[in-house]
Amino acid sequence: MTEATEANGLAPLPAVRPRRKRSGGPGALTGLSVLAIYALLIAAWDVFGRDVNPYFSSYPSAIVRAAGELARSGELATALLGSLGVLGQGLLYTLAAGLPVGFAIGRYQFLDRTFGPLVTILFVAPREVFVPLLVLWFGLSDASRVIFVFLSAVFPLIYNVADGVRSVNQSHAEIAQAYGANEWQTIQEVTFPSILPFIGVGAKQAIARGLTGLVAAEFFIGVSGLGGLLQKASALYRLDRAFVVILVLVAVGFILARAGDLMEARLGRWRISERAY
Amino acid sequence: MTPLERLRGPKRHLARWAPQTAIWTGLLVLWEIWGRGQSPFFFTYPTAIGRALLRLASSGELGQAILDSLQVLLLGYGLGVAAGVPLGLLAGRFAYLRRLLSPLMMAFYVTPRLALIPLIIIWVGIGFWAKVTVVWLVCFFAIFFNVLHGMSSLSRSYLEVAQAYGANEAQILREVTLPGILPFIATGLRLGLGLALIGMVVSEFLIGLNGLGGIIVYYSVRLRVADVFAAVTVIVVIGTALMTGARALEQRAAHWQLSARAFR
Repeated sequence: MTEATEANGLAPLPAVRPRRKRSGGPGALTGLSVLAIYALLIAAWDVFGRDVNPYFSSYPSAIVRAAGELARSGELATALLGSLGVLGQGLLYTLAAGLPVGFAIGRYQFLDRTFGPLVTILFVAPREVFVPLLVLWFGLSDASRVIFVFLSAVFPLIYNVADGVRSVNQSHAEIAQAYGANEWQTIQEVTFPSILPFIGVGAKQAIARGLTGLVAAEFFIGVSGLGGLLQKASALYRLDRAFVVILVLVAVGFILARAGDLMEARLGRWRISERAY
Repeated sequence: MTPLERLRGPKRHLARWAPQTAIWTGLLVLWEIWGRGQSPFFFTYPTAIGRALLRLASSGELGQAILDSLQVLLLGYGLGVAAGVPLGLLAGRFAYLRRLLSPLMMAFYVTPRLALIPLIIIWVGIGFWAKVTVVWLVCFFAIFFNVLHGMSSLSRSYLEVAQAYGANEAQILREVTLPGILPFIATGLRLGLGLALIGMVVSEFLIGLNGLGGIIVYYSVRLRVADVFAAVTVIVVIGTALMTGARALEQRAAHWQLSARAFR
């Protein structure tokens, strides 16, 4: 685990399936029994859920029906694409701004001392307080939503990149300089490779925060995307539809979290191999 | 020796931070000058924010809002800790429970928990407890997963030594497990607190407008930007103070482990 993960990261995503000792052994049996328990719970929900007031709850077969409805009418696809578009744009700007700013803050002590505290404050304080101001300034538009996703995601990246630059091994930089590397070469050959793991950690956090920011933005800044679809459904007490949207969000969250983990592992890989060396 | 190094004590401290102080004062002055030229329904400036802060404080509005917000925050967070730590310990200890819970917990962990707010409104209503539920839900998983992560990185040999000396389950928990995962618990508590703050603000936006989040929405729809900034400032200050405290506690917990390791 890199220092940055210790300092401000979430615990790594637990493996979906713990390693089995032997295939077909007791591990497989517990896996099957877990599966059976979930199947039973879902079946019981489907049987008893029908008797519950539909304005208050729903049940699996109704949720599947609602999923079909939403998929056929195209509402789900539109919402999903809208959400992913906003998230993608926000994360793109995050990358474009977060890397250079984080680098500058980590590299130049003066900038760090001047703007570091601000970055830390914006990193730890709840960003959601700025939502009403964004609405005031940029209206109920995609621009507001993109800016909010950006605000949610950019500070973890800045924070981690700056942390990475600060912890570049000084002797590596000195060796490069001793061999006559100029500032740009040192950055290219020493600094950049050694902050890659930190970029991985930062990017993973940025993705997770960006997704939370997206949902918050879609709740508050006009009703749009998946968050909007969810709010519309629950305002009409269509809980079956609400559950569909939540399940889609679970899937999106899962894919993004895996992508983040993968990125973290890939960018952090040379560190581990160097250690073994 | 540079001139800076020759100075001592508070004087040196002052000299060290002089450029920063100058820059920030300059930026605030620029903001003040530029902000005065803007429409007050759209933008604001530092002295107006200060006035708004004084007005909110003297009318008692601010004190009441801080009280409301902290009540939601502390209750929700407290329940999150009370549920997250023991459940994390249990799931770490019993492999079957871990496997049973992991699909469900994973689903919650990777999904923005804020997405459940509309359902919470339907199930719990729009009162105080709905907000507490949101805060609880938002911070619980960070705490749970960090405790679980700590359990999985606990060294097996400590456990075996304790068992070899005939320690029972309760003794192992007290002497081996809890001290061993303390840094992870502390990290979970800090991350959980950060998330709880978000849950507090968002729930005050969406569920019954009161507390500090309520003030923000109330004044932003009335285009009183200075009051909005005043409330934002208060939340940012409270949030930063709480998080700084949590970080200090976390570093103490980690420090404990490092020194313990050195001792062995």
